[in-house]
Amino acid sequence: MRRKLGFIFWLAVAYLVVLAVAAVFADVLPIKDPAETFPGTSKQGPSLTHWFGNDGVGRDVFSRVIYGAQVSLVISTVGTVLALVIGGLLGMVSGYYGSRVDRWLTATLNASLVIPPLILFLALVLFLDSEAKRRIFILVFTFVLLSIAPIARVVRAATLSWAGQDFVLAARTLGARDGRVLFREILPNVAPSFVSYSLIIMAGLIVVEGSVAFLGLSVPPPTPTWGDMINKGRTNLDVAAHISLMPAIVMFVTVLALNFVGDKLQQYFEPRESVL
Amino acid sequence: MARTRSLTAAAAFALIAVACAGGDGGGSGTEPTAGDASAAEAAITLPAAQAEVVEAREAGEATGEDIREEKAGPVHGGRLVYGIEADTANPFAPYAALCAVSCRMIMRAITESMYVTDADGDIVPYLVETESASDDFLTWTLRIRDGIKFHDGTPLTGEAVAYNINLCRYSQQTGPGYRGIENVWGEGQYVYYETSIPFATGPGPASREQGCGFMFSPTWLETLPNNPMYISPFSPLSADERAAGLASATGDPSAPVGLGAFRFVEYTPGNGNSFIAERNPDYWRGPNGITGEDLPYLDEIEFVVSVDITSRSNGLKAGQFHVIHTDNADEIAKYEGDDDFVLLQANNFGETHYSFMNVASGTNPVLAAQRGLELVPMDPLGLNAANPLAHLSCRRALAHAFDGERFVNERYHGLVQVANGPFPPGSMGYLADSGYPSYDVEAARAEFTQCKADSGQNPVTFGFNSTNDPFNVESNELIVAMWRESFGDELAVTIQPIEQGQYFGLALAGLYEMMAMRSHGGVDPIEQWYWWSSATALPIDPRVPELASNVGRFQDPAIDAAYDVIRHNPDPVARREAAEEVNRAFGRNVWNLWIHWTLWGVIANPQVQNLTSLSIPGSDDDAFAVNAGAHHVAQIWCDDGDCQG
Repeated sequence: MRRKLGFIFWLAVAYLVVLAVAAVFADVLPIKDPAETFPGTSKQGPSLTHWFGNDGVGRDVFSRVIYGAQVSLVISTVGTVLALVIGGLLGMVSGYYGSRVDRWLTATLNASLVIPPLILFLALVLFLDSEAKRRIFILVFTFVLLSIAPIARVVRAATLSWAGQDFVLAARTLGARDGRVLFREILPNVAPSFVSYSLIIMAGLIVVEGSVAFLGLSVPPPTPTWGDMINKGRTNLDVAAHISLMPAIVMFVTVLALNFVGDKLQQYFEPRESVL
Repeated sequence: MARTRSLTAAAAFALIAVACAGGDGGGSGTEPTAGDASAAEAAITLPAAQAEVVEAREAGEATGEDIREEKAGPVHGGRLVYGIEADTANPFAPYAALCAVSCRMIMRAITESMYVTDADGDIVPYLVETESASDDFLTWTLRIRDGIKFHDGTPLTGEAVAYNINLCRYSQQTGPGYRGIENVWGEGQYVYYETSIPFATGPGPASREQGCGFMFSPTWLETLPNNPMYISPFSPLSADERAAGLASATGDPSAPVGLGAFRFVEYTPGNGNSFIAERNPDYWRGPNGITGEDLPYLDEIEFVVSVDITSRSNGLKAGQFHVIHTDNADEIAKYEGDDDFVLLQANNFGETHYSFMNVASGTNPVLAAQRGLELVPMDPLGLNAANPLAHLSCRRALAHAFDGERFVNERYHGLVQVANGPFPPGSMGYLADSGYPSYDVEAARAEFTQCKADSGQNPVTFGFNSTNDPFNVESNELIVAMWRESFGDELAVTIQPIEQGQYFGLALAGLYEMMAMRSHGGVDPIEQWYWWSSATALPIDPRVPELASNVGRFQDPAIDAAYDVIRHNPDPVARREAAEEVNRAFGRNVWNLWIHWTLWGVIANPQVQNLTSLSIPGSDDDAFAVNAGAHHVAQIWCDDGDCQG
């Protein structure tokens, strides 16, 4: 019997859906232009006109938080999807073939886990391209690199457990090729676990993007990102804390929601496996 | 017939000055001996002092003078930790260092200059005792004070001074500022200059307390692998001599040997790291020196790089630093009226915040004549061909669309003044109306229509480089937002935050379209020649990289002609009129987008005394207190020899 996902799960999903919809349709929503400055309003706190207040040059913080979600969600989603494809494939190959392939892949993936994310990003910015306009691609590339190993490890573990199941042996006995076994027999069974895990990866990437933006190395201004907003607001923490606080709260709730949904989905799929 | 005169204001050595970026103070103090020339006169209490500072600032005359009432006289001892805004690129040999304010603070601790600026803004002899010039100003003779020694024991002689100057002459970086000086040599305590053009203003402006004005031990300089004598194409040495010199050059340019109040102890580069120097017992103004004074008072001074102003300010409040400096008026405003800290403000002879634009195009006939070539193309590869800012209409449109009053009010609480030129109020060349385009949206739009036609672009597109300091980035976002309000989507500007270490290199190489900058502080317009001359507007060509101090690469015959007067005419009226013409030329051609004149704040724990008032031996005047953010440190003491309190 399956567990119920619960009210908080659906609340978190609803929050994420609302945030994603707002980010995607920000241009058509009745919110202010995130780049527009309102003279005389710099550092003003929340009001009916500006729900989250105004930043250091008078821009609407609410609007910038919504537009900032575009960067955070796009980078983390694209990074996670690409990492899912590459990491998932590597994990399945490693878990299915075992032996020397498994040893080499596992060693390589484990080694990549020791690289600190920020150091890797800074190194890539330095050696690949420091121009701000192209930095979003470096960000995504870095995030993919960072996410491959954790995803591959999860998928490998799941593949190992499914590869020995009777229906897999039956398929191989009937002459199914490796590709068919992997993608028709094993993939549908490991997919739930790594899709739910990917939400946790996404949450991690949002935090990393925030850290990178905090260092002023994310997408170029004036495009808002949450990390960049927090960074710029810190010079005014003593007089206008809302400038940093509002994006920080939204980032916190988003990461919390993603983690919660991811955890819940993993728990949700676990009993189904145990039934086998 | 030779004549002797005292320099007031003064030749054209501009020096590269880049715009750019705790300890406990324990220790038991000892009373200094008699002959203490630095004991400041009792003045006024701290709150009243701060009120007076505000008044001076509003008049554009704040010098950063420390006018607090003393609790007690000078005390020996203590360790001062000073939070500075940036590290120094290529430290610390003066011919190679990109020496902005933080670098100059360190330089002032470990060494001293031939001349200093006095409280009136006049450049007066300091390590130099006397000076004289021939009637035609083609020969200058300086006598150097006798009995001064560098920290390694090398005596300060005419030869030592000439060696320092010649390294700067032969350096590719600083050499262009010495054009026209044919020969410099020393004999005994004398230094001789021979020039090919009248050198009316003398060596003072190039030899005051910045860049190549600072003296270092020739014994140390000879050991440095970056010594221009060994590596510069302008070196007079033969190839064999260079190779031999280079082979034995194992010295460390970041371990300077000066003659100042403090001796080098340790330097670790980078943000959060520091430069430590200890009391020099043989300082020429100390008990064992030639003046019979008792300087310095501190046992040790440490400069800690803290790029971010919030961190620096928090460091002061937490006791990590005892003194910090900043040009962030938003932060300065937070300390006004705060009696827990001393706030000194300076905007007299200060710098200007502005954006310069790359206008490299066509050819440079001045450079061609100098190099004996028929043509010198400014942009042979077309790297700047698409930059709309090469067109006057585009520059004027941006200038008209900038609301300076709104900017200084929103970013700086109105503490700074909107700039209309390179020379702030009180400086030679300042004009209340320089002809620079004022804020006028209609005029901006009219110019922008022309800009689109001239550049062939819609949207008009360019990159705007900013340092990656979040406050600076946000300030530049406000400027771009103002332009957007006038031009909408027809203007596409990408702000590119760039790490401080790479920042100025891009400007020197010409690989940019627009860059934000803080520069042009100085007491005489002659110091700026280096930045604005057609002779220093070098081509953009990464195949044959040349670093241009005229980073905008503009060529303005009116500015060149005015500088002929400023550099070579001793008549102060003619020089002032020429400086004003320079200002008008900038107004007409909008080579730079002026933002505001800089206000510097020096903020300290009240335990720290006599922050900025250093006497000048043989003069009734003190040295200028805070010049473009930098001040002297030999005269500082801490109450009870404890800087923390």
